[in-house]
Amino acid sequence: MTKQELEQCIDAYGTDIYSFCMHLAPNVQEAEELYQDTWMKVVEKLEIIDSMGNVKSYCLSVALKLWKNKKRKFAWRKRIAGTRDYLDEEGQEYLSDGRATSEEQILERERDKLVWNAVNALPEKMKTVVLLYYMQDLNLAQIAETADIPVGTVKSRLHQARLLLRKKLEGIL
Amino acid sequence: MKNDLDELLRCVLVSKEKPGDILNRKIIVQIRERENMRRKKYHKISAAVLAAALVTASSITVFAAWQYLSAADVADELGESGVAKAYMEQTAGEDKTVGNSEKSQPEGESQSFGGYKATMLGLVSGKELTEKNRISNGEVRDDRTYCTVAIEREDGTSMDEVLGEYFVSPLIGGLNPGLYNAATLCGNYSEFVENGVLYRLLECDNIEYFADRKLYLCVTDTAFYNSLCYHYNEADGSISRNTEYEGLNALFDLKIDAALADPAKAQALIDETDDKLSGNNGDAESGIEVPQQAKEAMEWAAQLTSENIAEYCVRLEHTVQTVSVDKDGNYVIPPFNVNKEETDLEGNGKIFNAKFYSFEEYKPGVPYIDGYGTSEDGMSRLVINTFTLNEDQTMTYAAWVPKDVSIYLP
Repeated sequence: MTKQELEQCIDAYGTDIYSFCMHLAPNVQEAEELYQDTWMKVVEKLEIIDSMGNVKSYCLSVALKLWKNKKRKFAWRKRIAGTRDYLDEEGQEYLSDGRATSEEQILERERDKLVWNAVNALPEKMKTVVLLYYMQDLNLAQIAETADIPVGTVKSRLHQARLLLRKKLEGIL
Repeated sequence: MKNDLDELLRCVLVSKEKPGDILNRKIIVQIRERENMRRKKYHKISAAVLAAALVTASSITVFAAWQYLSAADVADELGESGVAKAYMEQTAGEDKTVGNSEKSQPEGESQSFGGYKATMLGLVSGKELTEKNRISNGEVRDDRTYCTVAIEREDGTSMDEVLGEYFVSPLIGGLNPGLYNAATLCGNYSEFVENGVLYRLLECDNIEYFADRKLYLCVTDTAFYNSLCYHYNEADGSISRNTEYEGLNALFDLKIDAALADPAKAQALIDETDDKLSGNNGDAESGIEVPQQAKEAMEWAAQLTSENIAEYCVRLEHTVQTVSVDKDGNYVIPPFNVNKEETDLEGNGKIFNAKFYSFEEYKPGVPYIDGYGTSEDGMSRLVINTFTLNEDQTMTYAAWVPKDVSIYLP
């Protein structure tokens, strides 16, 4: 893949990767940093991408790995400096997107908020699989490759996540 | 029911957040800049590894090479403006000295061995030539020697495409080069590749204090000092190339005015190095007290034995490497990463001279602890390295981590 093609990829997959980063990281700043780092890491691996079929899932896997590494540093900072609450901030970000507020939209937004809160409350490993499956539309094999886990583990996490989500969202199902 | 949930999740969990145009433009600009950017790295030379191997033939040629960047350009490129200025003043032949440095080395001398050409671009020493403080034993090391070399492949292959490590270090006549080199003289280096040529700026404690001895600069294609690259004559203290070595093992004579020698300061550096080698300075090298968690983890690790390691630790299967004795009689363990999620290899691997590892001393199939280490996080980042001699004369090297608490557990 050439750098020109990579720029086209940013154009094509930027929203998917950015959204994924936004839901992995606890705030916009860290998400944008992760998004930026992901593309810079992908640049280093252009030759590898040539031999790969799914550029998007490769980029997602890079983002995921970078985030896991960042998270460790984040945890360390957390011990010395303290951090803001993940779920609260996620909710605030989501509610402050500036959309119009018709009654239907308000209901839709409340529904979305419930769903996102339920997803965000999942254990991180389940949440990642859910994001990759529902938000990024990857199949089980692609998720396994992206997250570097066996397909059986993907199935299991997805199944467990569905059970938890169904329980939490039974009011709107 | 399942479909309701799936439908809801697919409806809500969509990629709605779009990266701003400014953010994307910033990334694209960075990518383009990186394309043009020279590779730059900063390294501290670890004094922990002082091993080596490999043997063969070579040929000497000496070039006057002016097609390279100047030593000042290299320093400037690496953000060492003070060092660049010192090089420029040296080149201009000014009488004025910078710190206690003065013109001492004719640049442009090249030596070719093992398919590489190493060129000495410059040498300068002095105090406070850099704003980047190097700290060792809790003290700022501001009295340093800076040496710049260019390394390239003779077949024209870019150094960017050549995997490998290189070791550049002053060597001091009368002192065992395996013990007294850049690694033990608080060395650091920065490097980048331009037009296929690797430029390295090495710095270490000021070697001018040893100017009453014969001084050398070695350049090898090994990660650390390799005792098979050079001969050290203990009788007269001289150092010479091993002409049987097949790779790069250049050895330049450093011409430094003997009047700059300071035996007292030289002895102080020797004493300090001896302390390091004997372990007397412990963890004081970094000037940082070892955190309690790290201390506890190290004390815990010290209790581990070949017999109980499996009871308290888990072997990280992705670190397991089994190697045979190579043609030089060594077990060469390639670099590996204890963090499975990181693809970039860290560390420098390890070399064991097979003649010291026999079944008489080491039972086959038993993991022997080679060493252990951790960070301020203590137990969660504790890693224990083991080697095992196998019945088939191979050696297995592996990293182990404490059960349950390690962050490296899959």
